[in-house]
Amino acid sequence: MEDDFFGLLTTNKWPPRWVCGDWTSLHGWFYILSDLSIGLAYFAIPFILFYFIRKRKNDLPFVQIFWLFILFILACGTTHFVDAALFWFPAYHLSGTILFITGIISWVAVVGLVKVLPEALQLKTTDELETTVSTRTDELLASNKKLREINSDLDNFVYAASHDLKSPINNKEGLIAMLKSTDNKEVADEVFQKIEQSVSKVRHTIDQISSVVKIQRTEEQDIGEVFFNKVLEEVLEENVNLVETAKPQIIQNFAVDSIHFSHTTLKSIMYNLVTNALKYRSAERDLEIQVRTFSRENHTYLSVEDNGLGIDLSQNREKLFSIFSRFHDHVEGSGIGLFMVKRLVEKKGGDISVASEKNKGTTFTVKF
Amino acid sequence: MPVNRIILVDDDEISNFLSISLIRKIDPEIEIIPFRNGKEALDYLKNEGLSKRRSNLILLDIRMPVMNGFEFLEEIHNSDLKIKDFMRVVILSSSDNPRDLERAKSFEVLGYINKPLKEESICTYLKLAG
Repeated sequence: MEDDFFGLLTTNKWPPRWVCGDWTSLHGWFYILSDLSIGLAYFAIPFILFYFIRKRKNDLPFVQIFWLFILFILACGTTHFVDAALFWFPAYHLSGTILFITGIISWVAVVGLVKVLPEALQLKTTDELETTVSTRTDELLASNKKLREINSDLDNFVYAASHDLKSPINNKEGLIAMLKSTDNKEVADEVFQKIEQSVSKVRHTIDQISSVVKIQRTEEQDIGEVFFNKVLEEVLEENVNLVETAKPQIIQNFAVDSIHFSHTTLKSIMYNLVTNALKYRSAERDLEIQVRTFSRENHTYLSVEDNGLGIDLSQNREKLFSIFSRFHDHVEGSGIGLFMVKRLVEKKGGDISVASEKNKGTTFTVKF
Repeated sequence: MPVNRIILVDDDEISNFLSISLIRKIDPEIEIIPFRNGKEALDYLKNEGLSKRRSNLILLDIRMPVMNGFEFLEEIHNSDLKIKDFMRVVILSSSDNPRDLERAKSFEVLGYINKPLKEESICTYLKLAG
C-alpha cells in the first residue's frame, strides 16, 4: 500500500484497534464513547468562546489568546475523534500528524500565555475595580461639592456686590428727583452732599470688588523668605493715621522670625487682622495688640490678639468670615476683610480660627 | 385704624433720608422712628413695646450690620413678645437675590419692596396695614 493523500490515510497493514488485542465490546465502546464525548465537548467549547469574543469584542483583553485557545481545543478534540476512529480505521499516520499539529498549537498557546501572564496579572479584580470606582466617585463627589460651594460663594458675591452697587445708585436716583423738585437752597446743598457721598460709596465698593477679584486670581510670584516683623512694620506704616488715633501698645513676639510664603499674601493677612484690631478697639481702655508667631507640630502660627470690643461668637461664628457681613457699624468697613483673609489662608492650605469675648477682646490665629 | 407710626430699620442713612422725606410728603402726621439695624429696633420694641393705641408698620431692610433683617424677624418670631401677633412688616431692600426673596416669604411679612421706595408702593402698604 503506497502513499495516498501524502500517506496520511495509509494503514500499513496495522490492524484496526478492535482486532488488536482482546477488546470486549463493553471495554471497546467504553473507550470509544469516552473519546467521542471528550471530542464533542472540545468542539463545543470553541463555539462558546467564539460567541463570547463576538459579544465582548470591544473590551476583551488578550483576544489573540482566546483565538489560540479555540485552535488548541479544536486540535485536542480532533485527536480524540481520530483516536476513536482507530478502532475501525487504523490511520496511525494521520493520528500522529494531528497529534504533532496539536503539540505545536499547544506550545504556541503555552508561550502565548506566558507572554501575557505579567500583563494579565495587572488586570484588576472586580473588587479592586469597585474600590477604584468608589474612590473615584468619592473624589468626584468631593470636588463637585467644592465646586457647588464655590458657585454659591460666587452667587452670593455677585448678589452682595450688585446690592452694594445698587443701593447708592437707587439713592442717587431719589436724591436727583428730590433736587429737581426743590427750590430751597439749603435742601439742595444737603442733597448735593448726599449725592457726593453716594458716588464715593460706589467707588469704594468697586475698589473692594476689584481687590477680591485680584485675590482670587493672584499667581504669587513673590514667594520667598518673608519676615513677620518687616511685614508688620509695613502694615503699620500704611495705616499711620489709624495708628495715631488708636495709640496702641503693640507687643511683638516672633518666636518664628520668618516664613517661606508670598509677601503680598502675608501682608494682606496681617493688614486685615491688625487694622481690625485698630478699628474695633474699646473706648474704655488703652488698646493693646499682641502679634505673635510660634511653631507647633511642624506648623507656623501667627496670632493677633487685642483687648478691643470683641464679638459674641455664639451666634456669629459662621457669619464672621462671610462676605459683606459686619458686626459693628460705628466705623467704616465693608465686610470683606475677614472673608479675604480666610480665602487667602485656605488657598495656601492653612486655616484661621478665632476666639473672642464681648468687651474683652479678640484673638485671630492663622495656621500656615 | 390707619397707620400712624412707621418704624424704619435700615443702616443706609441716605436711603432713610429719602424714605423719611417721601413718607412726610405723603402724610406729615405719621411718626417715623428710624433705627440703624435690627438689634436697635429689637431693643426698642422690647423696651417700649408697640403701643396698642398706635398702628405700626415696620419697614425693614435685609442687609444690615450687627443684626440683619432676617435675624431680627427670627428673634421676634422666637421671642415671647406680644407684638409678634400684630406686627406688620414690609421688607424694604435693594437685594434682588432670589434666596432673600424666598427667605422673606418664609416669614409672615406683608410684602417686599425693592428699593427705591416709591410713593405708590408705600401708599399701597399704608392702605393694606391700615
